[in-house]
Amino acid sequence: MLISTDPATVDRSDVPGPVDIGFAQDMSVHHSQAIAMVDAASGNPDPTLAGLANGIKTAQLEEIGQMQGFLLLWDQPLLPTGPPMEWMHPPRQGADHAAHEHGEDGSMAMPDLPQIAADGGMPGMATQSQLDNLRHLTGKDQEVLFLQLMLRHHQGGITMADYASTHAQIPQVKSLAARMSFDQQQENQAISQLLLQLGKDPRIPPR
Amino acid sequence: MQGQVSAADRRSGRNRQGYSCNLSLEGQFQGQGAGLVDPSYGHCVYMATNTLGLGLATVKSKGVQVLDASNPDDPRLTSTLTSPAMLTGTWESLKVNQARGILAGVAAAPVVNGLLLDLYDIKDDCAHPRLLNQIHLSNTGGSTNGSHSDLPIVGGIPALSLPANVLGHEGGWSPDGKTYWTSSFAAASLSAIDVSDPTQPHLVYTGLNGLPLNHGFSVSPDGNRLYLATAFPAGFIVLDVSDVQARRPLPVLREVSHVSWSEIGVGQGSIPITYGGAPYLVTFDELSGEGVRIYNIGDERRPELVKHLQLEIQQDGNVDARRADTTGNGTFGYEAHYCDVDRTTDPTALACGYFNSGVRVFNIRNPREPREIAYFNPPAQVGKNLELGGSDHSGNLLVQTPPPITDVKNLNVGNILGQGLLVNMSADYCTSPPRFVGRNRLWVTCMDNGFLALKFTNNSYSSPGSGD
Repeated sequence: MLISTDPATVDRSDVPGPVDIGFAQDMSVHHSQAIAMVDAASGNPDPTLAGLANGIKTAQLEEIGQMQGFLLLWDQPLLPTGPPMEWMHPPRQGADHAAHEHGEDGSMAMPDLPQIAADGGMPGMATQSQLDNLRHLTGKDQEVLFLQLMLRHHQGGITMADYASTHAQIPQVKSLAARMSFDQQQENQAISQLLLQLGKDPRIPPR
Repeated sequence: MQGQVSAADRRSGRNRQGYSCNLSLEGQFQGQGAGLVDPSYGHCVYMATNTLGLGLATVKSKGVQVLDASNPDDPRLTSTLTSPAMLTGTWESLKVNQARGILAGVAAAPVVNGLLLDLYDIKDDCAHPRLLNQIHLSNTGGSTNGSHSDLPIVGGIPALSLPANVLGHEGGWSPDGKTYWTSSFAAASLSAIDVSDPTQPHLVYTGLNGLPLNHGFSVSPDGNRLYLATAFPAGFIVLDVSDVQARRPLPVLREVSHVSWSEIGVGQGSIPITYGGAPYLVTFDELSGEGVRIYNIGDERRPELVKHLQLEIQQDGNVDARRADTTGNGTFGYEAHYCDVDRTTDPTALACGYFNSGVRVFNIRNPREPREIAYFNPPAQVGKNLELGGSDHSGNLLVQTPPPITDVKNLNVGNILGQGLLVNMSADYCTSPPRFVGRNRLWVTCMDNGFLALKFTNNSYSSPGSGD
């Protein structure tokens, strides 16, 4: 049992904790990049891709609206104020908590987060040069890169959302995070199958 | 443990023999596997086919497979439905209206869907459905056999010029058969389609409900209430839809009440029933092992929980077993899906289909004390992913980062990156609504095993008749 004296981890369902705030700030940024990806590929004529991209953009814009609304009501900055993903690194207390430590509520805490980008960015984010490449490609090549980048973007987003859905203080934040995870996993099923149909193994990362 | 297919059984191959109690198999039509929701009517069964996934590549007989099960020992394929929505994939929208004998489904691939509704007459000859609406819900007209050049093409078929994702995901009938409702996760949309004249369906309501997301639903016998399951949080909303039922020119939906029970859950659907004339609602969830609930809705503004019915494996203390058992078997853990009752007035039995746990039947003469009377969990179809391309289960791909979707409490069911691309098929997904048939039969469809004609044994169940 992990005993914490940090007031932020006391069960207060009406006060946002670091996870609520950090998730809303970082996920807004993360979502913004998904929208940038959709915009970068908006000229692609494939209707299935367009339908998928439109669905992603609609959902993520709506979710950004909710997260920004939360932050406004909490009187918190809309943009992150520190290094990315700090809210997913709660201070470890005690020396020997392995990956499967148990949280106060009996649920399992997240293991270490190998998905976090080595450069300290958020998991699943594309680099600026990948986005540029996406803008310049056309046709099937663009379609494949869009799907590959979005698959990884979602995988990173799912990691963030799952942590928030189990560690946030506020029930509405938990629900929103769980919904994001569910939606993006469904979308990743479709993305993977579309990649297979294009002759690409979805497990292989983009070049 | 109740509902469990243990990790040991999955490793040893015991899971390939299946599990049963008081239900035996009379006949089967496996075909190439089945989609999520596969209704039946009279002696006929309508088995949907997964088309977005691996099915596209490996399915030989596309569309909805029509079976004649008048001889349950030997159900036979009589026809396939390949009109646009049926071909795209109907997800959880393929539903029969009993009163009018009409089969309906919308194009509802899980993410990308065309805006199409197909209606079939099955009243006269259920084994050979007749397409009623040659013209789809288009603003611009256009028939199913050409002249679609001005319509966008989605998944190889013409889509409609309505906002994307207005339709899709779930669908269902008002009991009088004059309105077909559809809901979508996307932006929580809800639409009502007038099908009084099934050759000329048209939208009479479409709206975005906002949060929480809506999912499956049922409609009260008078058509004035829609019991809408919600996701994130899981629960249900009682909606006053009388404006739509009365076809008022500017219909508005009004919330009567809402109930929620899990921030991280997904309600799936509901069934309105009555005991001694008093209204109740059976609800079922597809996430976090939440299972089934029965509510007293005598005061519709204050629904009262009567019973929460979870399988033993679904209970919170068994999170570790759930994770061990279902890792690698795809998106869903031990979750309920669609249920049905033997009759809606003073029901005596409730049958529910489950992911991983087969189909299970409960005596619910007393809604406060349901007890399981039978179950049938069909043999796992290990290794048949490709030949069962029509199964929505076999089409699952293991490409997610852990923890995956359905068991948030568990923080990992199923999909671990790097284990291979295909699910291990170590237990079937029996997601379709079971149906009580005749005196002592139960018809179910599971994704991998296809249609299963089951019979109750040991006098475990006998039909009470159609109502008192």
